Parts: sequence; structure tokens; C-alpha cells
Amino acid sequence: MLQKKICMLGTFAVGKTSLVRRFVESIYEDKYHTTVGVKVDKKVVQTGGQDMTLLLWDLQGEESAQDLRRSYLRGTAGYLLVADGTRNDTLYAALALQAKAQEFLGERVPFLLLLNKSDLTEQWAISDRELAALAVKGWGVIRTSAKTGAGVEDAFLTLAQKMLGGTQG
Amino acid sequence: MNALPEAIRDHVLALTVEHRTPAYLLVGDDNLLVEWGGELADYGLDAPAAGLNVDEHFPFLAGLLPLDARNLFLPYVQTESGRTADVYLFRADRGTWVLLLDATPAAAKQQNLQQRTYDLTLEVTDLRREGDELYQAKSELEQRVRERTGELARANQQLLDELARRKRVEADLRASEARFRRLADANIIGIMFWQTDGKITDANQAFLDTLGYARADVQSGALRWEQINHPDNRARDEQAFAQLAEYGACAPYQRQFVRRDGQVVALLFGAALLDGTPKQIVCFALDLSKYK
Repeated sequence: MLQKKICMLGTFAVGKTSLVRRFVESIYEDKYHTTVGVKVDKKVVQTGGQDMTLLLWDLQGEESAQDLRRSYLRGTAGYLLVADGTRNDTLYAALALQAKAQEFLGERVPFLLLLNKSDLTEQWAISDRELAALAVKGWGVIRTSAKTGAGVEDAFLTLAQKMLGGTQG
Repeated sequence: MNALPEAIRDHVLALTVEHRTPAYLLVGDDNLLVEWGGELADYGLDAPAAGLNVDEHFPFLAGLLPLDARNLFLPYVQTESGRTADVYLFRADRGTWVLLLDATPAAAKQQNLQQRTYDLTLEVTDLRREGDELYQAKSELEQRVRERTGELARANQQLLDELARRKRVEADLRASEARFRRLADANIIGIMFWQTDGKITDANQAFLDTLGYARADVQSGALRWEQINHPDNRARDEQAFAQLAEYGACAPYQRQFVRRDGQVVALLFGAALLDGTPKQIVCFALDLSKYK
């Protein structure tokens, strides 16, 4: 069966682990548990008329892109950059991580930016102007909520399609 | 680094074997399992068979092999058994060795430290956000206070202006009243105040003398317009009252008045409404016979 490795990248407490748990186990827990190192999960999806095993590498959130370990990224077929929509600085951390990941993996590996915690509309801190700037660069951006499940399935399946088609961004 | 004595090397090895639960795999360049050993079960890895495809059987190895010249180190890989392993991959003649060493205690320490650090960071972020919201609310409140203070200052100035205007009007009024009072007290002509309901409220001495009344008659409220009015004036009075209503004053004309002793006396009469009081009338009455 077709097998693809996906890395979850983003600074700490943006909801990477919660997104994986929502996608794989349909579970959400409100309390924050930091991830140390990496946890690997897998889920089989259907895309392009075939089954695909997604190997989900939930990486420890790094405060700085410089701390991102190249060894974890080896063999990555696609990655999800995760930012917390209520913390504007996490978007810029995601941008820095994307630059670092691209340095390690090259430009052809597809990725998506997930703006997580979309249920917290009153605390939303990312402006339309910032999103428009990403749209100009051709980035795929999806609003997700690990809490409600909104956009989560769509995010993983969209990346699966991109990996199948070999399209970037 | 200087070479370690054999005894030290042996001791380090013994410690590693005792405390870090080694397990290993040897994977050929075709990604098929060649050899395995150690405590694989402690990491939740089942007993594999030679020739197994490691990409399919060990998800954490998918995409990593075959290894190029560079060795790989994956710290803190969480395994299905709940243990956390440090995973080392390095090349050998027969393929790539995959060595797992237990790192659960170190990972737990790291997790604890990291959790506290990030919890504190998130608390600081929340506090900063609350501080920003409070600052925003304070700014808005101050702006509203400034606007309201401005409105109050403008209203206060308007009141002061109005007060000053009223003082000027009152001063003018007092001066006007003083001049009028002097004219009335001089008793050169008769002056009388009455209301449209017929009540005479004041009169000077000249007016009272002309019609034979005393001041006490006015003060008691007993003296009324009907008592001094003569019915022959009705037609001319109607014209005069129409002028009063329209212009606030009527042209002087001669009319008859009835004295207290019943005698009829002809007087030159003129009247005007008092300012701002449509029911208060001031009039003068002049006995022309004195000047003939």
C-alpha cells in the first residue's frame, strides 16, 4: 500500500498533537500536554481512488526554527505547518519553520498552513491582510479547530491529494 | 579523545545494557530485515521475521532507509509500549544498524520541564493579552471621558453665557423699571396696571386722584376695570384691544371713565401689554380738562 510520511510543524501549544488525535482517534482534550521528541501515528485514507497510509510525525514544538531537527524530517513527503490563530507570533514562527523545512527538504515537498483554534473567534489575532500576503505566495491555508473538528479532515486529505499529485504549497 | 581503558569501556557498556534496555535491527539496503535482537518487546515491537519490509512493519523507520553516508539520531521517539527511545541509525557493511536505547526517564524530566516552561509562557501570553485588552478599554474610557468633559465644558460655558445675558437683561429691566417708576411716582399722568380678567393690580396716585379712589382700594383687590369703565366706550375699546392683541399697544384715544362718586370724566387713554405677559396691561390716563 502507498505510504507517505507527514510531519506536523509549528511552535509549542498550537495544537499539533490535538489535530493528529482528532484526525486519528476523533478525540479532543482541552488540557495542554507538551510533546517531547516525536510521536508517530498512522491512518489509512482514500485519495485518488486508492488507499494511502499516512504516517503522522507529531514533532515537538520548537520555539525557534533553528532548533528543528533535520533527522526527523528525513523521508517527509508533505508537511502541515500549524499556527494558533489566537497568537499572532505563532504564524511568524510557522513561516520561519517553513523556510527551514524547505532548506532541508527542497521546494517540491507539498505543505499546507493550518490556522488552528478557529472556534476561538473572539480572540482571533491573524488579519486578512496577513492571509492575503500568503495567498499571493500561493500557500494553501485552512482554518481548523481540533476542538470542534472543523477543517481537520479536509486538511489531511487535501495534503494527501497534494502528495499524490506532487504539487507544492 | 584518548582511548578509554578496556575496563572503563566494559563498565560503560555494562551500564548501558543494564539501564538503557538496548534493542537493535539490522536492515539491508533493500529495506528488508536481516537481523534483530535485544529487548524489542519493551518498545512494543513484535518478533519480526527475516526478510520483512521494515518500511511497512516499523512506521518510525519509513522513509529513513536506506541511509546515506550520514548517521542519523532521532532523540525521544515515543513508542507504542509507552517507552521513549533514543534511536540511532548508522551504516555497516551489511546494511544499516538501528539501535534503540531507553530514554524514558530523561524524556519524562524533559517533558516536566518543558511543560512548566510552556505553561508559564502561555500564562504570560494570556496576561499580556488581558493587559492589552485592559489598556484598550482604559484608552477608550479616557477618550469617552475627554469627550464628555469637552461636552460639559461647552455646556458650562453656554450656561455662563446665558447667566451673563440674563444678568444684563435683568440690569436693563431694573434700569427700565426705575425710569418708569420715576415717571409713575412723579404723578404727572395717571398710570394704572390691570389684568385682562379685569383686576386692577396697581395705580399711581395721579390715577387714583383722577377717579377718586384710595390706594387701599387697589391693595385690597376690590378695584376692578368694570367699576371705572363706561359702557359708551365699547366700540372704540374693541378696536383698541384688537390693536393691543396684534401690536402689543394701542393708539391713545379719548374715552369716558366713571369716578367713584358716579361722575363721568373724559380722559386721554393709551395702553400697552407688558413684555412677555399677554394678560398684563399698563395704561396711562390724562385728564385733558386740566390743560384746557
